[in-house]
Amino acid sequence: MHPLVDISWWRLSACGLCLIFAVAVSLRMKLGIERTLTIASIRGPLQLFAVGYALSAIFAVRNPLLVIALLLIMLSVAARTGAGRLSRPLPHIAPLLGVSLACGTAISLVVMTTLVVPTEPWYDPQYLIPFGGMLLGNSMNAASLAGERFQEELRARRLHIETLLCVGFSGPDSVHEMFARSLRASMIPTLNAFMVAGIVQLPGMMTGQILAGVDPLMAVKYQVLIFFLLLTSVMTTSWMFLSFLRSHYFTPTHQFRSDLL
Amino acid sequence: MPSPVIFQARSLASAPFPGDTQPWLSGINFSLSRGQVLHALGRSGSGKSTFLRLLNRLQDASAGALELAGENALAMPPLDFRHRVQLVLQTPVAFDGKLLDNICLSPPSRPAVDKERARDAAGTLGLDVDVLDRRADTVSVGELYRGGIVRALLAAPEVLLLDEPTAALDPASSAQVYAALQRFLDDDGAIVCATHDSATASALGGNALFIHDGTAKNMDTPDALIRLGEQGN
Repeated sequence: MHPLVDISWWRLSACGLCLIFAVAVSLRMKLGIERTLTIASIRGPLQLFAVGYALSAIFAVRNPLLVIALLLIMLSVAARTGAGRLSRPLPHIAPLLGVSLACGTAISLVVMTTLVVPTEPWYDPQYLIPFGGMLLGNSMNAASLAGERFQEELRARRLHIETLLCVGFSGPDSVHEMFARSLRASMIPTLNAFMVAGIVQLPGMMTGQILAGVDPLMAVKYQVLIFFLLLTSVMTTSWMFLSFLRSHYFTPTHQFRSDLL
Repeated sequence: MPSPVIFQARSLASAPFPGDTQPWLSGINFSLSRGQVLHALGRSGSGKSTFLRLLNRLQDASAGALELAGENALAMPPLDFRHRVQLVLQTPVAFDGKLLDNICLSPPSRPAVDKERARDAAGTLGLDVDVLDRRADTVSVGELYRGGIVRALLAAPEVLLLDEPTAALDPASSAQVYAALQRFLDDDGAIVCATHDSATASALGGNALFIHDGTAKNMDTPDALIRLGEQGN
């Protein structure tokens, strides 16, 4: 195994040249996203470096409260960001997405730390934080997809819903198909990644470990672990979030709140 | 001996729509016996559909009383109530599957509808085998609407709420619908029908409410109310 090639700062800055191509395409196609591309290209690296320094400090201190505090910060940012992606904002939906993300991620992390990688101590930041981040990020994306799709379905099928309510269907029963389609849609990116893993692309975590000099078989084991944890986390988060979302659109007497769409 | 009252409202008012402070409809009074029809007449946009939604509890009441078979309908479990008081909306929709599957839709908490019984009932409204076996999104609006009436009748409700039941139908199909509704009335059912079509009102007979300016005025025969509407409104 060759040691990892160090990237000097000036060479790293050279990859910023890639931005020129993206901005050029945006200008040529009149996409209007040049400003966003530029801001994202500055903001992303700055955030990553800040997190890098914070992680170095947290890894050194190994304090459970610090680890939990960092996970909570990641959770609240994910909840706010995910809720903000809904095409029709709803009151108090960000905290409910936060609860969904917390449950989905917690189940996976508990399985990981108790059954698969019993770290010592249980809050070992070297494991908990990167795994927590991956689970939160993927679950947030899935929940956003689910929520957006569900709102679209409700908007397009108002009359279908009311027709079923008129003849005695409950609110949840009247949107069962739409709920299922939205949940399925939210699982597609995760399932696709699972289906083509190793054939079309090497997953990010595995790539990172191999670059860092880890035995490829060990990297595969961790990647398999993350796939299974993701399936649980993404499914649980999307399902819970959709359930919360659905409850917003029906009164206790099973009337449809189409005014919220 | 008069038939017992099955459905009645006293000073019923709808809850305001979100963002509004005043109810859309108020002062609703009627009393409907088994075998009777009540017509809700009025111009487009006068609130006839809101009136039916209020009676189906798709919309909340803010005041007044609504009784079904002598019980407080506003306190009944809403799903049981809507099973007993079925509403057929003015705009029919096609669900996935054949028209027959659409007709057989019933809440998961209820027993499944027998398909042969559904075919027989649909046949009386002019929906033959060819139509029933076609995908619901390929049949006409009139056929879809009649499918909706069959679905509601198969649930054996006590009261049927109909929104413009013959608006999308030709005269022959309308006659088949009137005949099916008459059989429902003969079996002690009761109907509340929103329409601006005098032919529907005349064919089914019964009493009428005239909905105007957010309230229901007068109870009289449909013909008299249609004349009133033509003269004054």
